[in-house]
Amino acid sequence: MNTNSISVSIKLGAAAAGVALLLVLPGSGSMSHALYASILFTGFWLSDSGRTRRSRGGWIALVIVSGAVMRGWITGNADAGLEIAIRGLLALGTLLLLSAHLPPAELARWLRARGISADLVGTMLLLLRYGDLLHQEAFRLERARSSRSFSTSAETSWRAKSALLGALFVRAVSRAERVYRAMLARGWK
Amino acid sequence: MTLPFHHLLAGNRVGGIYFSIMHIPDGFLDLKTAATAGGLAALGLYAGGFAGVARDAETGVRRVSLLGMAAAFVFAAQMINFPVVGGTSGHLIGGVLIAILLGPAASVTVMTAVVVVQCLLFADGGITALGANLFNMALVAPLGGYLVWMLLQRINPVAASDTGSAVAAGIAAWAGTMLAALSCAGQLALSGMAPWGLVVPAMAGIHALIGLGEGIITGLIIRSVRRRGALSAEMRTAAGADQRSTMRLLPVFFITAAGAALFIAPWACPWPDGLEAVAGSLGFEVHAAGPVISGICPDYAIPALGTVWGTIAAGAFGAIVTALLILGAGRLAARREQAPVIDS
Repeated sequence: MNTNSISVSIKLGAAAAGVALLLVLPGSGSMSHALYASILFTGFWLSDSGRTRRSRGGWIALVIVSGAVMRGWITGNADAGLEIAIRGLLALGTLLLLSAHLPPAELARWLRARGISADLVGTMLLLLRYGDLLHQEAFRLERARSSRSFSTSAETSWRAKSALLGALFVRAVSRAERVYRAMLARGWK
Repeated sequence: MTLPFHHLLAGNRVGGIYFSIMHIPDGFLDLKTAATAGGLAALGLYAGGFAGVARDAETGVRRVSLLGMAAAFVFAAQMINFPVVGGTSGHLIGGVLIAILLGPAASVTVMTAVVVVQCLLFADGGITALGANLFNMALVAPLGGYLVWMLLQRINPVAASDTGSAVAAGIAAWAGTMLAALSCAGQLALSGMAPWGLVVPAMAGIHALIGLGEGIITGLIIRSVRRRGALSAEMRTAAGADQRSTMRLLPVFFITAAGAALFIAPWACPWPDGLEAVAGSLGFEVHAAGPVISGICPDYAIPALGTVWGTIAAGAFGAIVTALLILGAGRLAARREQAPVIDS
């Protein structure tokens, strides 16, 4: 389903309203929660898998469930824990759905139109553009180092990995200079 | 048509321990705590927005490109796993590292971009907890760590060497992580998620170890970057690492200190400290004389404001006075260094 025509305000507003609704809904397993979950499920069903981002959703779900178990254990009330778990997981689902339908460029334009500083918006855009690229670069650096190294301990040592990240930072800074010149050349203001 | 959820969870790595559990999800904070933290974060970022304003358009473009690549570096570095123990692994957080390399103003912008992108585009951290996450990770951690770094640089001349600098950076990164974890613990306790006596030892214990990892990685990276001489003076000025930009960030330091005091101070332990406990057990507590000089806020309280608000106000007051004293001492030390040498 193409949602590009829907404005960012509506998408963000709907997600925030959905999460706020979850926070005020009483109880842990009401019909309202079931209805919310079914709407969320339909949203995922209609989503185009090509548009979705890789997310640490599984890990975040684990943190939510751990927090819920802790809450239930502290209060001695399993319902209190269940309430946190259901709220947290449904809210996570809402954010995952939002992230699948929020193109970064549109978000940046929306933030800029609302007076958010060009520094922050530009930083966010470059982060999205170059984050994966630098990750691939780090992967290449690590592969190159391991191909020249025979010791397993050296491959995994903190000193070696930190040196790798140091080299990655140096490359990032040198790339920043190239990006700066390219931005100037294109009349970026 | 595809199966829902499976493609969204494709990238997660549940196999290792994830360094820092400070991304608070939705549902963990109550309305008053989320709103307070959000207000503080907004106030801090609004005040900080002016610190990084470039003097001319060209410097502005250079600044954006540098901050963007620094943010991309933090994002990529967070995906590199460091082996810990028992098959678990962790990764860098990076706020204090960027504060040391590119200045605190740059670090606040970079960490804000990272936290907002993680929340809105990767669902990492709740939308209602975005303010709290920004306050902890984009303000408390980098600015707290940077203050410790500055202090170590001032008091210890060895900190200027490569190894000394790495050690100072490691201590600062550890302190930044701990401060953010304590602020996070305060927010969770204030929301009634868990009692303070339980959530603080848990968060402080875990993050003391996580901070150790963060400190070692940060120190090693700082040493590696310093040895390569990667950052020119032009770049550091464009990023806002100069003294003028840092001074313009003072209101943000104060807001952050006051906010951290707001979340941590009310939970100050009412139990006697070590000396009081020993005096009590040995029975000479009754012989103790009263203070020679009464403090401004005895027992961290302002009686007129009540217990909780009095402790909050005393904590905020103490943080501001301490920050002013550190800055004053730093200025005096800098002036002494610049004093002309008169040959006899």
